[in-house]
Formats: sequence, C-alpha cells, structure tokens
Amino acid sequence: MKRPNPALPSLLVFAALVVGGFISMTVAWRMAARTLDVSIQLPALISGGIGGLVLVVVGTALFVVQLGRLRAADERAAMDEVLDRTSEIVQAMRAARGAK
Amino acid sequence: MRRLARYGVVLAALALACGPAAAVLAAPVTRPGVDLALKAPAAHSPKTVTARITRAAWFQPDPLCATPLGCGPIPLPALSPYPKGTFHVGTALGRQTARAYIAVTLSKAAQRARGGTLSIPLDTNPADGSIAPSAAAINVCVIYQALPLAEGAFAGAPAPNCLPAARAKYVAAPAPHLVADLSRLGGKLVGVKGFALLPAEAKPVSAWHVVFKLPAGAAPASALPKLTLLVGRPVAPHSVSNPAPAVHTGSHPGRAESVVPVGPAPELPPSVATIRPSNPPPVVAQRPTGHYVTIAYQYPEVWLLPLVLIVLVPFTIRAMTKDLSRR
Repeated sequence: MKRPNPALPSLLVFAALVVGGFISMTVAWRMAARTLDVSIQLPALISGGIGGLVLVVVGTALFVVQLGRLRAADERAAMDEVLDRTSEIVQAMRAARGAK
Repeated sequence: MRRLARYGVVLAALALACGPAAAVLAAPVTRPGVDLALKAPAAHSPKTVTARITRAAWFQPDPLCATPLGCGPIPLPALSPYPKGTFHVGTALGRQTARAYIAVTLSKAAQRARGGTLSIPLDTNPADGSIAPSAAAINVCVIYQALPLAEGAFAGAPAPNCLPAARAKYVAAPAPHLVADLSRLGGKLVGVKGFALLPAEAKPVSAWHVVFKLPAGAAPASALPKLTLLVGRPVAPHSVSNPAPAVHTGSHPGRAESVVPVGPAPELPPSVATIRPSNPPPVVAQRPTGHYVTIAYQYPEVWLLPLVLIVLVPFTIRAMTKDLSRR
C-alpha cells in the first residue's frame, strides 16, 4: 500500500517561500514607489527586493530538487517492483522446470 | 506521535533560549552621537525665515477598516463631529483617532532650510474636542505632496515621511501651544509642501486630543501657527577662526543650536517671508556637545527571523535527506 506523498509538506513549504518572495517584492515596490526619499527606498529595495528575489530563487531551487528526488524515488520504487516481479517469474520458471 | 512531541520540546527549548535575547535585542539601542550639521558653523550665516502656513486639514481612520470585513470598496464621505475650522490630532486607548496636516508656502530662500521651529497655538475648549492636551505626544513629519482640503476625511491623506520625525512639545505659557524643533528634520525640509502632525506611539491607556485653528482674516499673531525656518549652509568646523560663545535656546538642553540672525537679507515677498534685522551680533554655537541617538529597527519583529531560520533550516535539511519512497 502506498503511503501518502512524503514530500508534500516540504513542497508546500518551498512553494510558500516562493510566494513569500513575490509578496516581499510587491511590498518593497509599494514602499519604494510611494516616496521620493532615497533613505526609505534603499532599505525597501535591499530588504524587500533582493530578499524577495533570494526567497524566490532558493524556494524554486529547493522545490525543483525535491520534485526531482520524489520522481527519482518513484522511479526507484517502480524499478524495484519490476525486479521483484521478474524475480518471482524466474523463481516460478525454476520451480516449473524442477517439477518436470 | 513521539517524534511530534520531541519536535515540540525542541521548539519550546529554542523559544525559551532565544526569546529573552530577541527581546533584549529588539529594545532600542541608545548610543552617543554627534550631530555635525547642528554644530558646524555656517559658511553663509543662517537666516531665520518665517514661512506662511496656508491651510490645514485633518483626517480620521475609516471605522470600517477596524472591522473584520475590512475597508469598503467605496470610501466613506468626510464626517466631522467637531466645529468647522478646527483641526485635530488625537489618540484614544493607544489608537490614532485623528491626524492633522498643515500646508506651507515656502519662498525660494526658505526651500533651502535645514531647521527651524513650528509653533501651533492650541484651542483648549473641550466643546471643540480638546482632551488633555498637555498629555499629547505628537510627531511632526514632512509631506511632499499637495494637501487636499479635508476636515475629518477618511481617505486621501498625503503620505508622511517620518524618518526622522520631530517631536512637538506642549507648552502651557503664555498660552497653550505646541512647539516642535525642526532641526532634526535637516535636509528633509528641502522641497517640503507641508507637515503632518501624527500621534506618536502611545501607551495603550493614553487618551488625548488636541485642537488647533487656522484663523482667517485679521487675527492676532499669537493665535496663528508660526513656522520659522533657518536658512543657511553648514561648512567644516576648521574654517571658523573666531568662534562665538554658544547659546542654548532651552528647547534642547545639551544641544547647541546654530541660530544666527545676521546680515543683509535677500529680497523676499513681505507676505511670505520676513528677515530678522541685522543689528544683533552674530551668535554661533561652536562647542561640540554629544547627544544620544536612538537606533532601532522600525519593525522589531524582524528579530524573530533567526527563530524562523532555526526552524526552517533543520526542516529543509530533514526534508532534503529523508527517503521519499512511497512503499
């Protein structure tokens, strides 16, 4: 019996990082756009803009890597299934040959 | 289940370990500093310019925004429970109930101001809404947008720039008024279109409401809000050969102020600016004196980020190394 997707919580967290990054960039843009004061715009740009960009990049990278690991695990599981079945077939053939 | 309990214990231990440290770090750091702009003598001696306050407006928070439903799509029309022509700043139970703005018209010379004083006579009549004006804690911030006409509007207030803000103090004599030393605003005064009077961070139990008027037509000078600006350009201290004794105005003990009434004044429209006479001898504050600058994050919650990282990094490491096979 298959257990529920073990990667789901981590995929959700990484997706939340990406969404948080976009929200951070949006907030930074709004803060920077509503004033002409460079001393306010610069922290907004650095903390919100660059910080948001880092969140998006890191979140996307982790998400893609985790998805790749999940697919690799599925592939390994499928391969194990094939090998198990093959082994069963081979054993069944040996048993049939021994009976003759 | 046991694993969940173990994570809970670890998280609780981390919170206990980091909580006090975060609280200490979130507290404002006070460190000595020197305000060079104030202590530097002037190359071209600063002049005092009285700028004209043209109009005022006040705004109040939209009551719908405080409900769980949030702000409505259509802004409510302005509704003032106070007499017409009165302007209000107030807070009740730590929440802002009113904020006021004043628009100023600056002459060309006054637009280079680096300091000054804002004085606003108060209307202390309780019938006009005044409540405990002596308890008022008000920040004066600059605005760079034109001020719309509004009395009690819920929206449309110009965005104030409060980094930094000047603190307005209540002065009871000879008549109740607010006085704000604008020298803290420094270069923020360049190109300013007006000032916002906002309640400073208040205690949850504080409640006060100050009222002021902008009399039209002939009114005694003492009843009018007054903005006096210092115009001048500071230079390096070594260029001064004969410093004069320091003069403290009393508004900021320990902080020397470079208030210098001097010389031939540039031509300014009499309705906009008046220049102080040149007879009094120049008085320059030269002796550098230290004062304390409060440094803190605007949003202290940022100190919780390490806690988030402490949770997120192990979670990521665990998630990226665990077996993902579904069988």
